[in-house]
Amino acid sequence: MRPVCDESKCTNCLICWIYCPDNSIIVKDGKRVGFKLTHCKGCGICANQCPVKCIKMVEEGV
Amino acid sequence: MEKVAMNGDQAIALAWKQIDPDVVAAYPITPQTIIVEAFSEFVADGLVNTEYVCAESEHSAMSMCIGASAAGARTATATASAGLAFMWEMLYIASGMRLPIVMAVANRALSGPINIHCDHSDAMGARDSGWIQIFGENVQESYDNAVMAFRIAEHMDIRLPTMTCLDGFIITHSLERFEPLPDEVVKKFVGPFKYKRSLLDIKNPTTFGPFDWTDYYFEHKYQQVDAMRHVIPVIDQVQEDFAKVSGRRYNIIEPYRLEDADYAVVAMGSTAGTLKDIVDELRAEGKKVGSIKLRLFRPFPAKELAKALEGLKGVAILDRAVSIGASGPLFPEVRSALYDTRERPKLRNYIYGLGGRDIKPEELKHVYKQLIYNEGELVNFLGVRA
Amino acid sequence: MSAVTNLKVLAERPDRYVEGHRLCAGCAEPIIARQILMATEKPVVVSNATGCFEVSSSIYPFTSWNVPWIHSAFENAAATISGVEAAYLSLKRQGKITEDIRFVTFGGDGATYDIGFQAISGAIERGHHFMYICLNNEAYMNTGIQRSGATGRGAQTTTCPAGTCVPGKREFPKDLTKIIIAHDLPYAAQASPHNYKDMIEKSSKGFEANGPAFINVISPCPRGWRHESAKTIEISKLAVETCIWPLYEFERGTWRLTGESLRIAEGSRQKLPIQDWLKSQGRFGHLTKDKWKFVADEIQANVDVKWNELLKLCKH
Repeated sequence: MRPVCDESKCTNCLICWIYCPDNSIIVKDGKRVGFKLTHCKGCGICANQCPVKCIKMVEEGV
Repeated sequence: MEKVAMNGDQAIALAWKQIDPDVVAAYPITPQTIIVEAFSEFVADGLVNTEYVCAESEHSAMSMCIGASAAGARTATATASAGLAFMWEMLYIASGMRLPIVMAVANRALSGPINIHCDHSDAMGARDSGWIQIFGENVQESYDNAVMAFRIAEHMDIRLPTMTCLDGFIITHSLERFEPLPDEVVKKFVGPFKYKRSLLDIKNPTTFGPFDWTDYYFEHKYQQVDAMRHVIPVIDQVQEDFAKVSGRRYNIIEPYRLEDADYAVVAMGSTAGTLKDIVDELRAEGKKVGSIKLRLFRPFPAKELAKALEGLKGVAILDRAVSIGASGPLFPEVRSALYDTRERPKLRNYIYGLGGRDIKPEELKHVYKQLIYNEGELVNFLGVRA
Repeated sequence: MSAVTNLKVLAERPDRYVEGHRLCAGCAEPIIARQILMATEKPVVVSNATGCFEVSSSIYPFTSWNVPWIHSAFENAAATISGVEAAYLSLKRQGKITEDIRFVTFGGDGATYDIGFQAISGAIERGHHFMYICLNNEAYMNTGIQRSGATGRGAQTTTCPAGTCVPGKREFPKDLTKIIIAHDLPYAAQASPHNYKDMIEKSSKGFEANGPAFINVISPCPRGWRHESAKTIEISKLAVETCIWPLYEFERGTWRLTGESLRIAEGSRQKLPIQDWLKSQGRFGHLTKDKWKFVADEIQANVDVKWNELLKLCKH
């Protein structure tokens, strides 16, 4: 599983960043700009904790 | 310098005072207690810069030493018997982490039963841990070993923890006259503490004590083995340098009247001193006997012992410890060292002095007699009511 | 001097603990460690007891640690850091070190409640300036989910499984936080990774305690507690909301509730029933059986007694 973000809904609250166990949320100038997937384990915490539910977990290879 | 009267423990504390280690973390145990008590008086009077930590156990004491040494501090400690046994796990780690911790071990019997007196079972239990092990014969030598140990452990080719062993009560609590070195001489001899990496080097963060899978452990252990191989030449050099400042020249094995001897006895610690008197008595009777004081047990000086003992008719190895189910611990190491020599002497093991049982001159003479008349078993017990 | 908890500010700081570690997906421990290491800008040196966190972050030749870090053994992380701190004091006194360094220790509940208790008690009694963080996932997880002194009553572990005769762990967990507080140290607290603001504020106080500090952190374990990896933060919040893991601090003699626990005490937030906690994790699954219902009742009763004790201590 990997996280996919609907950027139009993201409020840059950075909640996903503080809760990611694997440092896989890229933050630049106070904004969530992407995911670094090399070490993302697909745990889904970011999707579960996002207050506006703009992150979805999708299956790899899809 | 003038001779002073101190017991072995006090002499160790004096050596530490002169060296002024950055950290001492220790837990008291008989017969080492005087070391930590005497040293804490120096701390209380502001005579040392040492950060002195009263550990709540020996396992924690060695753990603290590991933390301190990894943090770039010159670190010393002392223990005995059950204390050494309690920190056994950490001894291997100190060596594996290549930390030049120096420890005085007041050799005392391991429980059970509980006994507070001298034998070598404690140090012997640690012989596989990767520590350098040096034994002393008397207060003078114990003091000198304590000074030399820092130079040996901290040598950049070595960086292995080092224990200097002194017989519990026999040396630790016996008042002897000995000649300490002047403070400046000790300070200059030991020199400043150098390290490869430090936890407190914030700019170069280092991970100490990582996890090895099967793909790296063996290589890391081999590096320790390799470091141990460099120890004997380093100790020779340190002993040479020490002779220049003290007038006392030590060797890792010290033969006594061995040159034309037919029979010899090998021992470590204070008994090696007693043996010299026995040798003199027997020589006066015309017997061609000698002895060897073994100062270095780890790394084991196999080549040097083989060279010294080759060609003798009979050799007795005295062990002040027993590996129950086998023999004394020193015996098989000497036997193995002599295995490939062309003229192997007859070898006998004599286990003696366990739990501080006194070894009498007549008993040592009896060992020589058994060698000369080819009596006795392969493994014998001296001085026990069997 | 209050802690920076603004995420946008914190996100600019260099990462002290980085990705690549081998902890399970959804493990709370890296989340907790990252939050704590953000609570000071001073240089830190870390000691770590053997356990999931240590092993997974230091597989030679890799390391997740961007700060100096030492692991020596299992039961002695507090003793190890005591030695590091002693070296620091000595070298600083001699002018060989000039930086102002902070010392922090991570240990699991195994290393803290059980095998390492002696070392932490000794280190606190001696007054070393360090902060000890217990990553409490309520079992010896690294060796395969065996029970510890921190395991909850009724929980299943591999050494106290729920069978036909015994419903999981018989004993209630040791209240280690209170035992540590009995040492009268400058600062101690309980925290949870869901409330990062509370965690960072407490860690900041711990770093500046000028003496020993201790924070016990509930650390949900998807593998050992049998829950989905995505639910880790949600479950840590449930621990606080059911009052089985209240958020509080002990600061120089004063007891104080914080976060959701404070709001529950004040009446502005509901205290949830312990069933919510038990339902959320597979390790309590057997407690729904009729014959083990009494265990859930006992757990609720114990939570209530302890919660009321805490309210009294915090003067509510």
